[in-house]
Amino acid sequence: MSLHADFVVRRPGHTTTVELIAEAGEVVGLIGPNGAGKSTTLRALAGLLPVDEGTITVGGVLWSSRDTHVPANERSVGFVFQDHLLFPHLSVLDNVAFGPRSVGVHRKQARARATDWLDRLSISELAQRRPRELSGGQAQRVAIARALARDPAMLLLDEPTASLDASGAMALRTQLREHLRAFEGVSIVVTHTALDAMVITDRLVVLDQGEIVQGGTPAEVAARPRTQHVAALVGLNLVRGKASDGVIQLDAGTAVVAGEPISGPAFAAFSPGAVSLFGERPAGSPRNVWHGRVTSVSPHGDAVRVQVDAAVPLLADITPAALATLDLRPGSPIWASVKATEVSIYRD
Amino acid sequence: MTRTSLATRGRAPLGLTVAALVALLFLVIPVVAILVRAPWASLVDDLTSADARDALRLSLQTTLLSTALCIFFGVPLAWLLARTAFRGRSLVRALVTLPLVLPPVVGGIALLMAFGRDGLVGKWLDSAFGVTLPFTLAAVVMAQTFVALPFLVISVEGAFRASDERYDDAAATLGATRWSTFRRVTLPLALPGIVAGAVLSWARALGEFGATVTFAGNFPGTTRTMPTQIYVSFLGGNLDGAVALSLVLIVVAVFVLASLRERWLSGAAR
Repeated sequence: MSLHADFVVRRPGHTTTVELIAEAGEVVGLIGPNGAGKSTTLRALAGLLPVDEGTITVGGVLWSSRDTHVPANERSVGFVFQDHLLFPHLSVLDNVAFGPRSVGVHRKQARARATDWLDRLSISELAQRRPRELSGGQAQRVAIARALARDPAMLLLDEPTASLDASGAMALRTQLREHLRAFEGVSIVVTHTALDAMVITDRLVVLDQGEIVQGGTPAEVAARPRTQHVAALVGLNLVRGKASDGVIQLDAGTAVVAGEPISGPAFAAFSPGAVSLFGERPAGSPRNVWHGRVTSVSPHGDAVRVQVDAAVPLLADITPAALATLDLRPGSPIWASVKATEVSIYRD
Repeated sequence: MTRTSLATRGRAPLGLTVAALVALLFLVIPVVAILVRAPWASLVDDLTSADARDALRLSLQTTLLSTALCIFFGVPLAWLLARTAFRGRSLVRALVTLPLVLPPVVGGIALLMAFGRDGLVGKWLDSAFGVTLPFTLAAVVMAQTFVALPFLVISVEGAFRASDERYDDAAATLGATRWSTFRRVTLPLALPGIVAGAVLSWARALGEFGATVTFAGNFPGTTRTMPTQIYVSFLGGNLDGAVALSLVLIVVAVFVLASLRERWLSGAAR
């Protein structure tokens, strides 16, 4: 059951254009900032929104086009909502049996199937509980069991780990990967976190302002981000401009010099650890030096992360000792520099 | 909340407090007066007289029927108002609310114009089926339904709106048709609101007088409900009988208020 989607959804204020092909068994991550069109994409795939142009075809069956709209209940999808939306008046078992019951399975068999799915997600003991008696992680597992129990052709997950604490999210992530690997249809996972993207997905699609701006394996996307959002997620500084012979001229008027000769529109990415901060203009190499002001200072692992508002917005990781020496606080003037050899540049 | 606002903002001004007390007393004194005046000694006799028994039985019968009709037809109307978008929805809502503010006696006249033997629909009912509605038990039920239905529709629509519409989306992605979603998700989630609406509309139907007496008349045993019996007793000089039946209605009203407050109203306010 492969997915061929190539559609446009127009909503008041924004337009989402998506072109996406996924093979059966593939786990595709949708990543991007709020308002990028991730939820719109999921809702259109699920049939909760009509498309204005183009088509959605799953396993050779046309689900959406300008003139066709197979209603959500006639599509074979499993949808895991961000806040799980378990029916509060039904037990966990009946929540999971809801899908099979809806597609005509007899009550007894539906319950048996639900029991089986609760077992597979190792939550059998929750069967008789009400949703309000569940922790966030438990509720999310029930929601996953409920989506899978109706045996869908495609699985859609909206930020499955967003409502969980760090350790809960990691445990769910690992379990989710296992189940999505075993799932035979296409899975689409909307995510806000780099970890979800790295652990769960086979392939990432980056959305920005309603358009797909990048696609590739999680490793490829993380190494060469093309949006500020992804760069921030993977913890990189990203600048964009026009390169000629290894110098990227930025729109802001400054330049970034890199080690590799390249020409045309390009991105430059460098890690916050490669950025050094100085109280005065550094002597020696005048290249890749910017003057700006500190906007925030926060702990980041063993280091201190400093946000600098210069001609390009920068993140710098410095040692606590350096922080003490520089006496930084929001508003402090600062010089920042990065070595050309630490900058990776690639074509836009 | 109240305690902190009293503490931080000082005492309530005397003028406001006095006016508020007057309002409260004005509402409470008449009820107290009826309790004081009640013929406690002859109460059992007054309530078991043939007239009173007939009126009680008839009221119970007709109000249960009209409440059932309100639920059966009102819940779908409330669902349409809450869950679908169509042109003129606000007009429909205004029309639904109209009987709420219409004087009941006007409602009775209107029903007569519609379903009377010469009425808009009644003429046709008469010639096609030989059915005449006015001054029958059916007319009592119709009058009660006419005045009570808005209460049910408004409160159930509120309940549908208050329950998260995305549960409907979740049900749809699980393969449930809209009807099945309504039955298995929307309805159970709105159940407290539906019960509250049903109790409210039952209480309204029980107290209905103006529309009933205009459209259904005042025939002992078939259309003389409790409020009408109270009025008849009162005019006929049987004050004890009128007050005794009034007590029953007061007890019912207090019971309705108490049950709504404890079980449903506080739940809705949370």
